[in-house]
Amino acid sequence: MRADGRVDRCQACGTSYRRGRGDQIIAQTAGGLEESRPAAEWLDALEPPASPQAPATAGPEQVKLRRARRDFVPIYYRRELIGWVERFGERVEGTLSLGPEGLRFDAEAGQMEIRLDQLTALQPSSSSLQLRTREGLVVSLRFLESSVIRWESLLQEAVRRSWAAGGKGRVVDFQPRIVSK
Amino acid sequence: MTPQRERAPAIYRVSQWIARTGWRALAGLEVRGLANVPSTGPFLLIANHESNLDPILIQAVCPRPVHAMAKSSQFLVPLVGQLMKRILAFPVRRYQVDPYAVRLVLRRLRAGKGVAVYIEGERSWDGRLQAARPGTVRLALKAGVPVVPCGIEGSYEAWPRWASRPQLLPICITFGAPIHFPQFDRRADREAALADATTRIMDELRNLSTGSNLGA
Repeated sequence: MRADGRVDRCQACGTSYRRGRGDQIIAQTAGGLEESRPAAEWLDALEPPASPQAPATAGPEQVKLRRARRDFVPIYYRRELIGWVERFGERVEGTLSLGPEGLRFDAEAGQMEIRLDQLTALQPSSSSLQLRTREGLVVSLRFLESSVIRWESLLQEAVRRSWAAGGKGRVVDFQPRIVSK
Repeated sequence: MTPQRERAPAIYRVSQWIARTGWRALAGLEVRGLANVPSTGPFLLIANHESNLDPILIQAVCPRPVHAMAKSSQFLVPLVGQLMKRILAFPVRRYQVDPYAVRLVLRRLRAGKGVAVYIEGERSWDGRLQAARPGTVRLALKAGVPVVPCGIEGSYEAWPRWASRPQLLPICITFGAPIHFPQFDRRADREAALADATTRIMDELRNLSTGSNLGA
């Protein structure tokens, strides 16, 4: 489902999806047949976006990428420091591809590569996916035509493979940091 | 010394009243177990997280002000950031362990206040209870204050994460009996107690977030 509330339509078969009452998602085929089910049931009925047998590559996918700056903003309330907040830069539109070694972002302004073995955190935030690397780079990815869940799942599987292949053990957690045992 | 009751900022009280009265009138709001919220002293309110409505409505119905962790990026949004501070939220960076946010929770608890934390770390995509974030349970074991489990039901149906707008549907919030964990100062002791404490909290949340008759 699109985060902006528009009806989503499968490009292959023409089935459209829209929200019904509560957590119901109504699917309507191109021929007019309708089926309504709770989101959890639809999710269970779908193929998992990633599995140990899934290919290790994905994309290219249209995304908007924002990079956190290194300067943190202190937040005060009633003269008390209550925390630090990262400031994100401008959104840059481009394509994201997942390869066996890592992610590659290509835009008009240039490209960026993030190796899977350099990731220290991976987590969805609203409708974006946030990544952090060992060097302290934080990026936020907003998918324009795909879903955050799908990419979160694909990346988690890719990180599991990468860490296992690198002898770093079995990944047991992805946030607030990737932890293996 | 008699502990002083915390008085929330005016905007907190006003937004609390609007949310509580408005949702009750337009959609239906059932609240159970209010007596389980300690009337004085610190408490850690641990809730499930189904929707953006959860923090608003939990604050709206809780008889005591609750401070809450909130996604850091919201604090730089004009107006929203100012509002967040006034409804007693403080920022947490979620892509790393945020030691300042943890220290602030402990400071608030030491000052005898209530703090709300969402044990799943983020909203559920499908309405089902997700795995617990171990950091939240470690925090409870380090703080050693009463843990008030809070189950929210119906907020996923009202505003699932994948939907752009809420629908006016009934919501039930249930405060469970406080769980008293000992205070573990040593890290090794906290790690030893982690699994049992996690199971206990999650079992409570599962019961509290499915016990209403909203679907009836």
